[in-house]
Amino acid sequence: MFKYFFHQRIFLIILILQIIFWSIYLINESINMNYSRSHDTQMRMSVIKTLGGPCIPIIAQCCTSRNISEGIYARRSDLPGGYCFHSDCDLINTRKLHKEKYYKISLSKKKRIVSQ
Amino acid sequence: MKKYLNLFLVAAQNLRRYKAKSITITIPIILMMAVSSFMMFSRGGFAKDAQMAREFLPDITIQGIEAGRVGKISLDIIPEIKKVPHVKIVAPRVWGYLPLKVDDLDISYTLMGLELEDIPDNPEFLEVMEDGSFLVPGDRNKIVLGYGVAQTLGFRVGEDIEMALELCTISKSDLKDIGDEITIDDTLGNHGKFKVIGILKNRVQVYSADLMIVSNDDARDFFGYAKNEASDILVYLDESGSADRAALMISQLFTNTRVMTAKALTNLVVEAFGRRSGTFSAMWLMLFSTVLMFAWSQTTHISVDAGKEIGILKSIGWQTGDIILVKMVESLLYGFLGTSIGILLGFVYALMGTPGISGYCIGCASIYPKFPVPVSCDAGSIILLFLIGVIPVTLITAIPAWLAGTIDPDKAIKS
Repeated sequence: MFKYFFHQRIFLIILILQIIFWSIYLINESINMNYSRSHDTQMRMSVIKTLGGPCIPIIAQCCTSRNISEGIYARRSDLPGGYCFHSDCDLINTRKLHKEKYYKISLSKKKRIVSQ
Repeated sequence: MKKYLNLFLVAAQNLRRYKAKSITITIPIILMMAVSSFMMFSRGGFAKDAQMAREFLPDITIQGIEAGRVGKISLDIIPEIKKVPHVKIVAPRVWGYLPLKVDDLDISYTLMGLELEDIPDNPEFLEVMEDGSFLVPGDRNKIVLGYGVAQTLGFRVGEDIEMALELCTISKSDLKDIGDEITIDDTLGNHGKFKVIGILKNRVQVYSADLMIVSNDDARDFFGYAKNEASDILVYLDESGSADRAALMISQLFTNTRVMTAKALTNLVVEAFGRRSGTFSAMWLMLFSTVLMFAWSQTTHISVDAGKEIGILKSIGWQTGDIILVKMVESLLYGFLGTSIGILLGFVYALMGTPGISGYCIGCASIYPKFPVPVSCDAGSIILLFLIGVIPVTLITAIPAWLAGTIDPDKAIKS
C-alpha cells in the first residue's frame, strides 16, 4: 500500500527535500560547527584565547544606549571588540562601506511632448 | 486504515491536478519559511559560537569604575586578587577605541594591548596569520592588524589586492607591505608609530575586523596610561566551576569595580543576538499572517469544476467527513511542501552568507567587509519551525474544508 505513496510525486519530493536538508544540516553541525573538526572554528576560538578576552561582538550597550550625544563610543561596548551594527553608526568600516552607500542623484530633463 | 491512505493519495493527486492553485499557495509559504529559517540559522550560529567561546574566555573580567562609568583600573589590586582561591593567572590588558579620519571617512578601530609574556599557550593561533607573524615577548612599537583594518589602510593582503585597489584611492605602487611603518594619529590627539609585522586572516574577522594588536606597554604609551593602570584585568582560574564564587569575593574585596564572569558575557551575547532578531520577528509575523490569510482565501474559493467534482463524489457515496479530510490533507501537504522547500532554501542562503542582506541577519545593519559567518541551529528549533509552518496553515483551512464538505451535491452538479 505504501508503495503507492511514492508513486505520488509530491511525497517523493518532500522525502527528497527532507533528506537533503537533514544531510546538509548534519554535515554543517558535525564539521563546520564542531571545534575539533572545523579549522575555521579553531581559528576563531584561538583569537579569543590569545587576546584573552571577550572579543565577541557584544552590542548590548549599543542596543540600550541610543544617544549620539554621548559621543563616539556611545554605541560601542565597554568590552573590546564590540561591533556597532547600526547602519547610521558606520563606526567600523572600510572604504567598501563608503562605496556601497554612495548614491548619486541627478536630474534629467524631460522632453516636452508637443501635441499636434 | 486503507480508507485513510486512499484519501491521502486522492489529496496528493488533487495537488497535481490543480497545479496553479497549489503553486499559488505554496510559494508564499516557501517565502515565509525561508525568511524564518535563515534568520534562525544566522542567529543560532552566533549564539553557538558564543557558547563555544565560553571555555576560551578568561573566567573573570574586572573593570574599573570611575564616578559610575567604566574607566581605568589600578594594577595595585593584583596581589590581592591572586590571594583569592583558585586564581591561576591574572593578566592586565590595556585597550581602547581609536577614532580615526582616513581620507573622508570617520572610522573607529580597537587598539588592543596584550601582556605578551602572559599569552596562553595556543598553537592554533599560528594559523590565524594571513601574512607576517604575531607579536612575541619583548616586541615594542610593532603592530598586528585585523584584515579589515589592513585593507582600509591600503595594505597588500591575500588575494584581495585588486579589490583593495578598487576600494582605495591609492595606486598599486602605493600599497603597503608587511614591515612598513604606519603612523596613527587619532582624532582625540593620541599618537603612535608602529611597524606592521602581521595581518590576521579574513576567516577570523568576526572577532578581529577592527583590531590593532600591540604590546601592553605600547598601548599604555598610546593612550597615556600610567605604569600601574590598565583597562581591565583578566583572571583565569584553575577550576572554572568556582568562577561565580571567586567573582563574588573579588567584587566584595574591591569597591568601584565591575566583575563579569565568562558565563555572564556569553549570556549577554546570546541575549543580544536574540534581541536583534526582533525586527525580523516582527517582519516574519506580518508575513505569517498574510500567508495565512492568503491560504484561507485561496482554499475558500472553490472553482466550478472542483464544486462539481465534490458533488459527484458525494453522490457516489463520499461522506462530508471524507471531503473535509481530503481538503485538510491538501493543506497539510501544501504546508509540508512549502515548509520543506523554504527551510532548505533559508539554510542554504544562510550558508552562503545571506548575500544582499547579511547586515540585517548578523546585526542591525552593517559589518564590513564580508566574512564567513557561523551558521547553526539546534534540532529542536528546526522541528518547531516545521510545526509553525505546517500546523497553522492546516488549521486555518479547516473552515474552508468544512464549507467544501457541506456543498449540496445537487446544486454543485447542476451549476
